[in-house]
Amino acid sequence: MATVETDTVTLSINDREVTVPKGMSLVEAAAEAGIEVPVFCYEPRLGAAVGACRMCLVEIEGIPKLQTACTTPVTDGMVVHSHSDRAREGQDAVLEFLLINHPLDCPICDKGGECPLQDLTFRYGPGSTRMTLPKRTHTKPVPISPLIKLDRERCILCYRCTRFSEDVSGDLQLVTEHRGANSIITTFEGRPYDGEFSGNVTELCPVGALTSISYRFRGRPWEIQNIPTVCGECPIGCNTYATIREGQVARVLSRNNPAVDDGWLCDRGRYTFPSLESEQRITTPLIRGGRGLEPVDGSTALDHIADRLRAAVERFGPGSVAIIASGDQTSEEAHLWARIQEQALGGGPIVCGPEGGAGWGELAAHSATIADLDDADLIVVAGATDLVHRAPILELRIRRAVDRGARVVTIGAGATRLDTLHAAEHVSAAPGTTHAALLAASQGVALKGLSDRSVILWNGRMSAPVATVLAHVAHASGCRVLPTPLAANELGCQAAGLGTHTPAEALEAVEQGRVKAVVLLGADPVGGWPGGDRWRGLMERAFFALQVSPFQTGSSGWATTIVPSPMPLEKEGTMTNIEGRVQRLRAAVPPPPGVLDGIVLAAELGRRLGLDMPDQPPAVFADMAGSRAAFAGLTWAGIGERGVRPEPASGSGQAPPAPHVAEGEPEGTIVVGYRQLMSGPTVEGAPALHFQRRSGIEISHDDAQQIGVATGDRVEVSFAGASLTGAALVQRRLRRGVVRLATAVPYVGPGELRAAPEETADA
Amino acid sequence: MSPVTDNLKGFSVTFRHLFRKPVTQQFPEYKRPVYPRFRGRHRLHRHENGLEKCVGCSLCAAACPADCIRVVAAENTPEERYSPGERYARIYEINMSRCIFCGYCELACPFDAITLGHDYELAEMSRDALVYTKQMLLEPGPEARRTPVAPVDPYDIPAQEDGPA
Amino acid sequence: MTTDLRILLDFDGDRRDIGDYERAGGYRQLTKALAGAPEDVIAAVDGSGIRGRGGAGFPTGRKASFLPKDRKPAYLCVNADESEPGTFKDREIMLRNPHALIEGVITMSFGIGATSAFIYIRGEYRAEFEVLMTALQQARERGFVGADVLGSGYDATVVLHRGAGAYICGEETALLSSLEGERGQPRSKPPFPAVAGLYAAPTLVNNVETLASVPYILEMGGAAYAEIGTERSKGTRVFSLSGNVKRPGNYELPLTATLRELIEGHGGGMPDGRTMKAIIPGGSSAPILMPDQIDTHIDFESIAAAGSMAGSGAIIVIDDRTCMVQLALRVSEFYKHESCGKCTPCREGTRWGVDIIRRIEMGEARQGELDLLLNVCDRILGNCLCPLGDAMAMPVASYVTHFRDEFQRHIDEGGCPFTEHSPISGLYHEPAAVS
Repeated sequence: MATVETDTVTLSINDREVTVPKGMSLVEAAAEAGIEVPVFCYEPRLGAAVGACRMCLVEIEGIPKLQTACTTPVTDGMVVHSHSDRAREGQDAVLEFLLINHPLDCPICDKGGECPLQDLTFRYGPGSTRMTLPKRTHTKPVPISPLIKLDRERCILCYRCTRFSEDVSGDLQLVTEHRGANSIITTFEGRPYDGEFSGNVTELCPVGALTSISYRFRGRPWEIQNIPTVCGECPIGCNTYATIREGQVARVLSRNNPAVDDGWLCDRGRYTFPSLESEQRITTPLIRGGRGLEPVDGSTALDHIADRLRAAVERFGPGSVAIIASGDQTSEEAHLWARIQEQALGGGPIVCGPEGGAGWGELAAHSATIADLDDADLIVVAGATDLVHRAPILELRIRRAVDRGARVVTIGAGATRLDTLHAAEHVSAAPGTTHAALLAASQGVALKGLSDRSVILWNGRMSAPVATVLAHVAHASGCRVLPTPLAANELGCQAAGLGTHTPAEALEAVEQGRVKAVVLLGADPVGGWPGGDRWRGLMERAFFALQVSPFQTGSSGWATTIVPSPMPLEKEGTMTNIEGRVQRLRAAVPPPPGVLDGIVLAAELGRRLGLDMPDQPPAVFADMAGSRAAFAGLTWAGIGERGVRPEPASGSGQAPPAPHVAEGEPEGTIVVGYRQLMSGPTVEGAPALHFQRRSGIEISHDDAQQIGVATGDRVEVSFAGASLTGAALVQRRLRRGVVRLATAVPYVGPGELRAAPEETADA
Repeated sequence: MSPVTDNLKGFSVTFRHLFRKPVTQQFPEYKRPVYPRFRGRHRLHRHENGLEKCVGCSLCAAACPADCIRVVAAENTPEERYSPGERYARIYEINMSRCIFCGYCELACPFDAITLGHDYELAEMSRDALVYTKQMLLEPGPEARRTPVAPVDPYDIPAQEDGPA
Repeated sequence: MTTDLRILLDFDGDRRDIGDYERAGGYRQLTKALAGAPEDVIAAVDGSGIRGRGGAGFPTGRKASFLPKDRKPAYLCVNADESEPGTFKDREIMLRNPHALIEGVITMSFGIGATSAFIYIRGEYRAEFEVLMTALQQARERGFVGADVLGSGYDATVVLHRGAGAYICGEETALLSSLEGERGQPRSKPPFPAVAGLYAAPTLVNNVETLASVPYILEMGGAAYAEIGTERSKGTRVFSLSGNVKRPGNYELPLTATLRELIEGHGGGMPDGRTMKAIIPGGSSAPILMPDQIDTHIDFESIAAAGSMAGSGAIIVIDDRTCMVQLALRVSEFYKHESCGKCTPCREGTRWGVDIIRRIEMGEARQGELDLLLNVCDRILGNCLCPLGDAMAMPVASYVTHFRDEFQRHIDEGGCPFTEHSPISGLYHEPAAVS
């Protein structure tokens, strides 16, 4: 924090002297003094305290009434008693009132055993009831979405969930209806609650009113273990607890790391764990033989792979094997595979992710941390799509920064959620030229005030020209840059050596005939990468095509050997997140029988190829720290619960070369196909999440008028040699000429839009 | 007292008992009655309408000092209702080879669903057979699966229908 | 000492038409004020010693001085959400003397440097709303409201907003929430509206009667106004007299008068053959006074000293036919119905209290529940976010304290000894049939 604490006050709480910064609330001050003040509605992450539940009543000398500690700021010389008879009487009264309507179904309730209401009643509440009136009854439980059930009888109306929906996620979907004792929490107009962050309300709820359907009756606190790990679904790397019961993941909870996630978790991170038991998972190695893919045991598969790779190098020379990685691997796996490529296979191309990150190195000296967003005075979000698809949790940070007075400028095609923030300004840019618009804006009035307290969030594909622009703008203004990688551990994989070529360079090498064998590490270039046909051609012609993946994908049909790999919740290792923080992944559950651990697989393969490689995560990490510059100086034990962020290499300090950006705007319709948050094999494996998928083809108001369609009408979009029909979604704020839709393969380029003929009959 | 008289005195007791009737009770032909509060094999009880009293809350498992109870709960559906309320014990197992018959489970149960009965003949030929399942513990009911008690189905109502009245 | 001094309603009929008002000297104080400095207005109001007429009785000048001078925008909100049972003085002012309110609003806005003024009028006050609309239109046409008032360069925007029928929106922070388009629920103080009120800007919230008095204060001069009334309660006040009296209605009296003058003098006393049982001196949320306290003065301090509060100036007289349990039930049901649901003691406590009183009235209560009721009231009192919970707990507790025998009889006899002979019998909700 930039603010200097010049002013402190000293007060006495329960006869303990405590000195705290001015402006702090009594609850926090008491916590500083090691005194617990009971609370229900108080939650600092939800914004200013509201004092609704009245649980935190304390006695302050000189004030006749009891005061709520959460809303009372400390003053010098205050004398507070939180355990005096009067304060206890007030706390007891509030609990007695709360219990009037709370059903005694703790044995049934999922919150039982980890319930703040139970705990506080035990410690502060009445021992018996004096109540004779009938309890309020409601239909229970009511699903408010396929993910969450609401039990209104248990609700104590602390308004945490509605405050989250209103002030934190901004989706405004949870509301209160009626008033007084008849107040109920409900969704707006009874629609399903479909925000990307909806699951957080189940953790905020201090009673069992909002519960996750997937955890319903799965376990009790004394039957579970919470394994601290990191979400492997996106590059933020939110810290999580995986709750394990009887060898299965029962739920995923957030684990508050203020530097990364601030205790929030998106629904993809929270609810994709059922994909661990998806039927789409591969659970045994497969080798293509005379009768198609035939299951074999692990060591046979490894022998076969080693033999084929050795044969490829012998026959076609070193460098004839390409490794195509998805970027979801742990850094340790990446390191071992990179070593195999470098030391045993002669150093062929390695691609990391469909965007294949060029130019990251240029930005290292300017890289921002996630926490920089909190103090930023100006946040620039540049990209053609919603930020939520690439870096979901950052949206909540930006919203909070705006509440604290930050300015937001969005540069892109428009009609994103951040555009609707009250402080947001928008600079329109055609997709594909966003970096040019950013450069122009930084030199013009739109980004006036860009300073060392500003952060530019690059929400799109990283490439050399983009990196040049970002480095130039950052150098000129002193601002920091936070580019969003696509894959969860893209930065870690690259730092571990897995990622030497861009996809385009690799394809070129392939088509020049230098590559004869290919290893797919989690990647699905045929089904999910741009240029799928060309990748398919490579695999068709390949002497040997190995796929290492947890799931059957579009590329599986062309693989000659398939080896299953574990998913992030089954792995030990480290991942490097968007800001370069190295965080520990812990194996919550073992992989299914027949699935080799990722590190063991690579190490065993390396041994068969004559390399001496460690096969335990700490040893691999040490090996990596010894040979990869990005990990130099880090130790396995030093990562800890919160991860470490090595100081990024400082740049030369010299001005980067002035970027040359092509002038002129593209003509005609531009189609933006983006990979949406709720897509990918893990989401496929979690059917309850599917309702959150965005559908519809977003078109601008002008274009809609031109082709004469309204929202809901069918339109046809053709691009990249294919055409797609879907319901139109007319967006007033979308840039003219832009058509945006969620696709399996990311695409930005020219296309055509026309109204589709009415369907005659429902298919 | 001399050693001789000591020994003679002892033998005389033995000798006297040679002519008494034996007190041995011939188990299993004869079964000695137990005290009313004897704690033996567990039973899971049912309500009068046949529904199981156990809701699968796992409090017995929490209370068990021998850690011999395993409960896996699940949700009742209108078609398959086992207990009143939302929750029932899908799996209820007691490992009798570990149980110390302390009765804490009975004390912990909020619904009086489990009690310790008077059966004590629990020997088995294998350890596996000493893991008692819910089927073995549950007292026989008029009907294993009951139709819903509530006249209307309050479960799984789509969210859309729960608008303001 | 005169008891028929009137200031606000010192005329017969009404002055809805701006012409009538101007002929009576209206809008001259606004013209004068605009020519001077804004601080002069506040100084005059402060000097008059007038205290808020809404209920809390906070000195208006002090409240206005809490607004930071340098922060823009700032707002003036007029609390015309007169909902306290028994209170009907603001509607009379708005019906008969709307321009006094408008002049007061503009003058006060100018005084505190407000950029806009909002009049939050109770939704049920349809006629009053229309009268105010017409009056505002007339004032606009004459240039008293709008951009550049009377060429002074001061822009006065006045917005008339109708509430949607919630008692709680008469609480100042709930009023602000409602104006902002949120749920009408009070906010925790601090921050006070003077610091962060409407749209987080400094805001002054005043009652209709307070603001309508401003032109008269300026006309008389603050010091002259301060000579009326007692040492700490200045000026005149409009009292709404209702209940079991011969002539109920609004009576404007200087704050030196006594309850007896109001009830027996102006109200004509009790109906023939009836004796007084109790007096509610400040709206239904005030604790009752007993008949022997009828000589209490009606200023803020005297009523507080007598154990109640002057509140909104609504005086309800209760005669011997009235069942106090029925009264408690009626009053507590009102507050239960109007509880906003934000804070726990009020939301749940009012419901519990109503249930106990109902069972006492129905004769279903057990011995000891009277103490339970008192304890529930005690546990609500002072523990709520806003005064609504107290507004239920205080009167009910006072009824039980003063008429404990009557409550006890209900329990002992298993029913209400008054039944339908009580004038408020059946006004409460019958309990829903238990299926």
